[in-house]
Amino acid sequence: MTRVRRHTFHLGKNAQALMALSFMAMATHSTVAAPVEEGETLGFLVTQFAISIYYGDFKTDCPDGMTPTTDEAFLLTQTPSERARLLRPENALELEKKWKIDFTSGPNGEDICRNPRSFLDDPRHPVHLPVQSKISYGMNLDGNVDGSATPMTCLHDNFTGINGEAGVDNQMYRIMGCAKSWRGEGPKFGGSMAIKYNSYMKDGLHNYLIELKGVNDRRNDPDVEVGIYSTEDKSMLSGAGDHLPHQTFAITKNPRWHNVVHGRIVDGVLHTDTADAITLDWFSALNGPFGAANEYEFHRAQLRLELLPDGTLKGILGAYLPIDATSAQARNGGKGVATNGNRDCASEYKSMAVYADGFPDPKTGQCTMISMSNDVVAIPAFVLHPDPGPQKTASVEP
Amino acid sequence: MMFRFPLHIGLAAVVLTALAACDPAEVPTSGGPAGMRRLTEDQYRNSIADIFGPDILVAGRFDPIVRPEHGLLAAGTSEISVSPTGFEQIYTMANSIAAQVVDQSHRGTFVGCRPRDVKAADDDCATAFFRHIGRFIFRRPLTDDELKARVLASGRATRLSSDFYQGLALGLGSLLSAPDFIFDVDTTEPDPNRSGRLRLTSYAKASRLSFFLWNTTPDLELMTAAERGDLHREDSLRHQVDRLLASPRVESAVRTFFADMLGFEVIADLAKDPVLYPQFVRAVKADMPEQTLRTIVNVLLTDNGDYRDLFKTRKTFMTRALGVIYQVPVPQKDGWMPYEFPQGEPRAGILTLMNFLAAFSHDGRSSPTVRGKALREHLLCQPVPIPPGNVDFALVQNTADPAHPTTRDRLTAHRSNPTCAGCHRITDPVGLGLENFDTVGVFRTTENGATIDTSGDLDGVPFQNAADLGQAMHDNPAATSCVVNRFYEYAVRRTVVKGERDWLSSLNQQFAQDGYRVPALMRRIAISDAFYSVAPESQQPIQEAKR
Repeated sequence: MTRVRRHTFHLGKNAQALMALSFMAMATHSTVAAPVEEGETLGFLVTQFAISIYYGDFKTDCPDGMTPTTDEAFLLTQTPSERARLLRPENALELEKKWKIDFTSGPNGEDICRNPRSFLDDPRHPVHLPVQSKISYGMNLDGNVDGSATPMTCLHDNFTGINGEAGVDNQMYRIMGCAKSWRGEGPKFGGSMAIKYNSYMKDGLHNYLIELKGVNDRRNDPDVEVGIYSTEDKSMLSGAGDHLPHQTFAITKNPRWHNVVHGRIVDGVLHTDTADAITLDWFSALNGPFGAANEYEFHRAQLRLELLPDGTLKGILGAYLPIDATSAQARNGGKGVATNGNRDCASEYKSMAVYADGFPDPKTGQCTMISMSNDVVAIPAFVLHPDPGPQKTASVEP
Repeated sequence: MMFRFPLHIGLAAVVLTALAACDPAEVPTSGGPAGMRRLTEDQYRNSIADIFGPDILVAGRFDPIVRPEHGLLAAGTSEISVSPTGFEQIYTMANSIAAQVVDQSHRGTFVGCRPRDVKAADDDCATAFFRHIGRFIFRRPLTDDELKARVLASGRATRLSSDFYQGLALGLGSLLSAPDFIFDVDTTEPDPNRSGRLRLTSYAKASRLSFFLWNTTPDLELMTAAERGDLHREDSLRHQVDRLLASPRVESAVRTFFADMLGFEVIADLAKDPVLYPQFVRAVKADMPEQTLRTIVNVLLTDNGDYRDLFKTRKTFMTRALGVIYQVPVPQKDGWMPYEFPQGEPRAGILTLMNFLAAFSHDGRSSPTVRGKALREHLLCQPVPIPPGNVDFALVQNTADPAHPTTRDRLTAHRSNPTCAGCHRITDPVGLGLENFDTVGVFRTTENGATIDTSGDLDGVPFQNAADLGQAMHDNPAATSCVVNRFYEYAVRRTVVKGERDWLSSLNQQFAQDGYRVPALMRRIAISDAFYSVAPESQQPIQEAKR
């Protein structure tokens, strides 16, 4: 059984005055009021937040094998004899130039990751090999089970959820689930993209918080307020590189990255209503280390998170990702994503465009977003609001 | 940190000065042995910073100081010498400091004269420099021989290097590596008021006073008072004591004392199992002793509070890193902020801060025995015998034994061995009161699924939990007599001798009269005859060399 420890601050007078001034100054930026709610408030630091990969039988999931990496994709464009020649050690520099420079540049010098649209008609960068199996993590985001087009969606194939749920929408997994740089080496490592995404949070490039307010019963509560926020505070890690529980984080002052949605707890699982959009900081966002603007956008988003006995939250976030915003994450990294990261950005973009299943463009009918599922794990933390007045927060203790 | 000490101490000093006039005559002591004490690393660094300024870098290692059995590290300074390796370090540091002092950016500050020719020796300028600076380094004026030796050596070095300042650096380096700087020496002289007895010289008094109250070398005003012989006059001595006590620099002494008394030296090598206790990270380890010291300074100096309240206070300071251990929110992102544990929370007093809990536990499990031993020895001055060599620890170390899920269970079984029972009866009933805190100080209510029983007793006073234990410590007369003895030991930097016990008993009573205020205790020690008294059996006086 979990237990909550709630603490009220008793600051020294000087400290109180300073903190009050500080919070008052910050309050002008806040759009999230601090409602007076009954029940407990639970805070969490998100420690895993990356695309869900269902690791079924590989031959069933990916009968045609893995979608090649950038260097592999280049070699596939060569004749067998030329491929053999380039692979000889004495030709390593030539090979490197060809795949890292020529193959990743358009006819006018376009960068494969910064301008993936320029490669839409380039046959050297094909659509990814899709996942063939029928099972996936995810949610039924569009409400139907046959994948038929609706005013909000395009025709698509559905998966069955791992618990048998029908009509699961997860086109992102369909196109990335057999890509080596996304699927990785297997579930033990969570997929190389998951490792990368989760390492961003360990490195403090961006961090996310979840807060549950008004929880009266952790097993069943029909009325819970769920906040999903960015924080600029970095996480402290253990010697093994894991996030430590019970840290304190202040919610960012940027109101764009404040998201609040109603939820309910059913048999120990939190289900949120559908949020029109959840917007979070992405590390290359405004004033980020790479200088370009970017955000993490989740449209028609829902969270389904189990409150585990050890105090953690574990589950998934289902949503539609705008393909342009999503590809921008690679775009900001530039060609390095295609070379050092070995991701064929053009193929990724083309795949997302082809398999996009949500939010059709009113003019073209082409869908602009792609359904997806993110694994979410969050550990107990203290979440501080940039609001004046006493802080009320708690961290869950097993 | 915010420091409001001077006002409080200033007021306290006025009150105490008035009280002192009503005090009965001081209980005489036998006096302590005249001796010499090696400067601690802090004292060395503080001295260099005070003489030459904080921008002079001191880079080197110091010989460790050995803690005497059941004593303070400070007392160990009178029982150690300098190893050959240690002297190499001292010599290297001395020359490094000397080179910085005479370099282009500092010579204008420290060398009050200009040589006639920077490529030639200038004995007049060198003499003026060494006479001035040597007084602060040796904490007394240099003798003629000492002065001449440095001038001569500097002149030779100048002629070899064709650089006056390199010559000065060589002489300065020899001062900084001399025993007269590295050791604080009790120079004595016949006491004109007590025939056949010795007394400390005025300069030795100044050093003793300054190292006690400021943990550093005497400042200019104290040196001047010593030069005039004022420190042999009661009113002048009190004036200097009150002046030193009114300074924020007393905090340095209080911090050093409590770090010594509480055995902080174990923290440097402290480690915890990273798998079981991943939260014991570098930042946490760095902050934990500082939290205890800030708590102590806050109670004793900032609030001029009762020493006994250290065992009950709910006020402490917190960082984000420590918030992980205490599982409390810490709004301030960087640095320290005040924090008060709410009433009803299990923590109160320094025994429940993680420093004590973690420092006196095993790497992978808590230890009521180690905690109880530390409490007895460090805070009650009650030595606990060491265990015999053939003890079988298998039972207490087996934390996975389902028959003994809690530490209490395991220790109870262990105590069934009569060889072990004697000592464990001294330590365990006390330490078990802290079992709600694991080996890094995280609160817990169960161990291996079994509810932890934290009841125990301290010298016949029963308690139910850690807060009760703090109250028992608060009320225990041994706690206050211990800190009195320890403070005196710290002040004289040697083990207390038999002939001082009666005086310490009276000092303990005065401590109670003063409301157990530590600044008042420090003042009582600093103005006492006992503090400066030299035992007749100290044989021949250790005389200052003739100037």
